[in-house]
Amino acid sequence: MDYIKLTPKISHDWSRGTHYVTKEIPWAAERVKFSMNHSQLQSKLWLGSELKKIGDSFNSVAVIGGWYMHFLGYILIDELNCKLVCNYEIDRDAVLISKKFNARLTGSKLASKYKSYEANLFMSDFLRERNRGEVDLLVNTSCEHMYHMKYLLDKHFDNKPLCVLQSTDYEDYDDHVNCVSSPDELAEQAGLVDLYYSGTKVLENGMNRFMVIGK
Amino acid sequence: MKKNILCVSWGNKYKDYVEKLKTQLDKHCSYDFNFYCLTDNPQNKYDIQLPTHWDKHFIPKKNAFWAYRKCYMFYEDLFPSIEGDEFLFLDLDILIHNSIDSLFELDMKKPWIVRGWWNNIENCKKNFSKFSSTPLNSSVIRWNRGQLKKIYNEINQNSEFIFFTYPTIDNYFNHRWYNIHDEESGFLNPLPKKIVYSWYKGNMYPNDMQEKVLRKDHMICLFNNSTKDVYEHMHEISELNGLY
Repeated sequence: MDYIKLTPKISHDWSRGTHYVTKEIPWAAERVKFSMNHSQLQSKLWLGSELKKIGDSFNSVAVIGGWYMHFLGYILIDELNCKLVCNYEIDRDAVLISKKFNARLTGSKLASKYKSYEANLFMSDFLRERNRGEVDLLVNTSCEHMYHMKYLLDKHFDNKPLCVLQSTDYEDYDDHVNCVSSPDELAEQAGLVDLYYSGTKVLENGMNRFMVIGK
Repeated sequence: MKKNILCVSWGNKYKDYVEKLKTQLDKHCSYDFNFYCLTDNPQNKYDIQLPTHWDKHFIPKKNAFWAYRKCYMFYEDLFPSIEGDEFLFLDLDILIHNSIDSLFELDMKKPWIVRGWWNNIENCKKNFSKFSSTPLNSSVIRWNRGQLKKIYNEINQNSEFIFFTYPTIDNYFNHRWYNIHDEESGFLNPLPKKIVYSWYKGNMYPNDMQEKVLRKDHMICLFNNSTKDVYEHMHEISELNGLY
């Protein structure tokens, strides 16, 4: 997966999404701009490429801290044909903005393929209800921003779903509260024992990105 | 029933300021009140031993300013010697200029906390998910018995996660118990403007932001800063103005 197919529908959503930010949530404009940079897209395309080798068409996907979900929403739903993607975000602004970027996927309540909730799943209990039953894929591309994923997985799952996790060893940002030194440490923090993929990519911004896929 | 005014002190560095706070309260509170200091080292008759059961989850290097010990007081049953239903917590690094009686005359449907009006709220919203720029300050908290038990319970049940995740207690309150987008609708009520201001940060954004100015028509000045000179500054100002 080397690029995003910018269809008229996607173009429409993303245009409206950026307009919405400018008009209604202007303080988020810088963050939205940052979320669309070279390295952000690189890391999401990498996820799409490696995950596609393992599986697609997942029924119920939970994304932890998915932020604005423009690239990731496209990859999971438009490219990998996932039936339902729920993004759990602590930031209300990100919830609202991500719905705009994915408006093409949010039809009537039952037909909606994309949902976004303001929730902290490290403390909140509503994962199964909101994901309409069993989750078969869990994605977190921002593990460096939060506590160990094992804590969350143990809280919500008796049997772990397939997990796709990304993190970094770059500690210079204050909000990188949980950097790891390698993909092995990332997998260990999440308690993953069956690994289908483990790798490192040096992004355009020079930062190491680690990714593991496993259970 | 008497009102309860609490402070929290651990270590010996600022122990003297407990007495200074009490002196200010004697001068600026006309209600009959009990004064208590929750401390790791009880020595005076107003001292009460702080519990320690959260210490095992605390990561000092990571959360240098997480004043988690304050949150024990939200479960009043941990301190059976404290009677009465009305509680006011004050930090030690404050100067009181005027009567604090009105803090005991607030509508108590919800508990109250300092809203740092010197903060640019748009900046707080922008940085919300980065766990910085909180608009709240826990230097002054007013509640009635039982109102903050929910907060104690959440911390008690999620200590490992909470102490790792939130860099400060104010940040935690902002994320979990306040509504930055609709400030009147959160669990915690913001204290109105013109009551509390900050020596180092100003008073109200954007028009009254001058730092290091005494605002004698306000009630309380906070010295919320990580500089080591806080107590020296407080002392100079109070001496100059006869506040103690």
